[in-house]
Amino acid sequence: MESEDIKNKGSDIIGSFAENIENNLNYYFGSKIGAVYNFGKEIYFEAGYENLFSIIDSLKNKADFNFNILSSIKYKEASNFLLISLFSYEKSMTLNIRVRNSISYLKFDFKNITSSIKKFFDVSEYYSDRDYIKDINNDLIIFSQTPETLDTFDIYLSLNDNLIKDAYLCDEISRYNSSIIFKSMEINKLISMLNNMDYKAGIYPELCFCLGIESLLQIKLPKRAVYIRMLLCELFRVACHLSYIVSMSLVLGNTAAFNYTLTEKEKILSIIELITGSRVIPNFMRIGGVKKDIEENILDSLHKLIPHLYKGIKKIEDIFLSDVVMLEKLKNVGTADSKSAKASGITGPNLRASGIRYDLRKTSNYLLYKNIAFTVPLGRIGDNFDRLTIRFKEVYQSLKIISELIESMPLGAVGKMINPASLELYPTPIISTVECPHGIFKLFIEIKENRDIEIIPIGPTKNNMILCEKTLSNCSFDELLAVVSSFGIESAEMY
Amino acid sequence: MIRIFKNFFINFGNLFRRPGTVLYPQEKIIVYEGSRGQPKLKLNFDTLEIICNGCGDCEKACPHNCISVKKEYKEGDYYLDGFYLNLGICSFCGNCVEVCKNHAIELSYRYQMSEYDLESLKVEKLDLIKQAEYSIRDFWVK
Amino acid sequence: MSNSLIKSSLNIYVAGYGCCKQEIIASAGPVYDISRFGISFVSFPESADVLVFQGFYNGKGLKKVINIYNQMISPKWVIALGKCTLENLSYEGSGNNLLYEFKKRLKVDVYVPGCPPRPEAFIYSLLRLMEKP
Repeated sequence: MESEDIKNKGSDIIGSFAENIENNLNYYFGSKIGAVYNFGKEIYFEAGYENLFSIIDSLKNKADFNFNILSSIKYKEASNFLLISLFSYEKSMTLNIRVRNSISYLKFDFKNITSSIKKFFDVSEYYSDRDYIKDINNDLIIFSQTPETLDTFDIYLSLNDNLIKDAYLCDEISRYNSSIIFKSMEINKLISMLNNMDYKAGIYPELCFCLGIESLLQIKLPKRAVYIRMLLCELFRVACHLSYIVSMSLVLGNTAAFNYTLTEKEKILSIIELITGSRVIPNFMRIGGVKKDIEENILDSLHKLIPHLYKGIKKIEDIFLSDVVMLEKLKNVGTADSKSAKASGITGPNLRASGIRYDLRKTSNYLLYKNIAFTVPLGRIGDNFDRLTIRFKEVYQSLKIISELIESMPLGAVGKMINPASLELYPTPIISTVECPHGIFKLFIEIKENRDIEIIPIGPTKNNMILCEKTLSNCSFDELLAVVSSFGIESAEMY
Repeated sequence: MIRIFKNFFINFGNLFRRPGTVLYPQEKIIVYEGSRGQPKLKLNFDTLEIICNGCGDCEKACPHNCISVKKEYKEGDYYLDGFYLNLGICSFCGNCVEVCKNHAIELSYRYQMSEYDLESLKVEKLDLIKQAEYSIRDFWVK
Repeated sequence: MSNSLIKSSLNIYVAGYGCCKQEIIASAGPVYDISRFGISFVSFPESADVLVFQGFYNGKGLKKVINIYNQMISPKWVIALGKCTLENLSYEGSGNNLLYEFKKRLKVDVYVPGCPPRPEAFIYSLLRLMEKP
């Protein structure tokens, strides 16, 4: 009885945090900012360009706010869109500031903005256009390569004998700008186009979009649909982590682990194909549920498969841990301590490898993760070894979650009969977040008039790249590829 | 020393295991039921006519605009005149199957679709019906 | 004669990034084992015979692919893989100059539809390439 009370109090405290911040924002800034929207862990408001820097200053330094981490700056030149997100670990809250120009068609001077924000946050310079470094760091250039984690950027290095002085990850080939406004689009059509925003785990952008629209319309889901969603999320998490281990073993030169991991991944992909119909692109989420039910015999066979999967993945971990050469290449290489990890605003397994416990599945209550017992694994110092082993630990936890989900899978409907064409969508901004395998994936959805929908993904990749550049400056040249691929950088925010 | 013996026995055991490799062109991995390959038009087995009446719902639902349907009006009813599908820009999402009220379109198991030129990837009504002839799993056919 | 000899041991260079790349790497794994056909992956354009053109591209990426193609030594072949690529190649507009130039420079031998194509489909496209006179 007591424990229930404490739980309720805890949820109240989080709720009151958001309200507190809302009240404080209105009290301090008043007419400087627009209406404040509250999406649970995310708070969104609009501000004019003139007041931007004074607002950021007081947000960072005033004790009532204390938002001391810059998590992202998203700028779209074509649609003149600028979104600045600040984060605080104490409150575990994100503030999203949409900046408006006084004259709406006037373009922002982005270079000026980043250099001004640099006074408050050092990381800000990484978001600006830094092509001038190409001329400085030109001792050695490594172009994008075949292994999966080294294919979205070129590396420009300045070397001091064998030590890396400075590194620059140039992601110009993965800055994929396309028009992002979906005009009077049917929602089912839109969902099937979303999933290549995160091409290793395609279920997460779909889920993120559906959660956003459902929170707007306050649709309550049937329990079985939520359980199927969680099941698929964890399956994709396992597949994504396994593909990370594949590329890591390619770079480290561990052929045995490469082969074993691909065999295990094939098993996971075949289960995913059995459920959704495709190995990579699921197109399975719908508003108010999922596309179709999972048959009982598939669940049974998955339940029988889990011990074999566990055994197989344990074997791969043993290959890594029992090999002295592998340990030499992994331990105490590319250490990112918790302070710099915090400052660069990373999320996901890379943050947990540095010893900070922050997982959206535990802190926020999206889906029904609170019904399920699992632990969030932690690393100690944040070197290559921690970043690799934390993936293994998360895979074990995911397998545990999957078996628990199958055992307690409720019966019932898998979706509400909702015709997406008849949904009443009024013009409003939405921000929705999910914990995807490589961090927190955020979608900014703006519903405009005539059912036009503008979607901007804010992925975790950029922050990982910032931390990667910071850690590279202390490494020797031999460790370069292992360190870079240990961060698991994939371009998730192409649009 | 113990580890070396352990590894030896693991390797020795692997000699008697079934090979994991599928010798692809000779034998094929079973594609699961419900997995998404090339679309095909279904036939009514009694009359051997196409079920599709050319309503054009799939054309509207396709996210990449790769379907175009042409319908004609004859004797008080619509019938299908032409069905054009560009396989090159099809993403096999299955939206056309989901939206079809008559259950006239279906995704087959066919995945071997490489061609030497782009023009032969544009398939028409007759090609899609020919797909429908293989009522059982047609992944054995080129 | 020389072409048929080269085709029995192809070296592949994979350009670009995206979901098709996962399936290509899966085809190198033990389940599909692409090395049965004498096919191996290389990371230098000079030693490659086949350019696999797949994934997402912006203007700079396209320029890079043209650069890679020019560095390859003939005889050379190109496989265009996946929906995103074929959509780019089949686009007939006057808007994108770079794409027009790209289509003029690169002669694609085999087109593989699919989003993404299964690993078997990728192997099949290579077999079709070997059959091609």
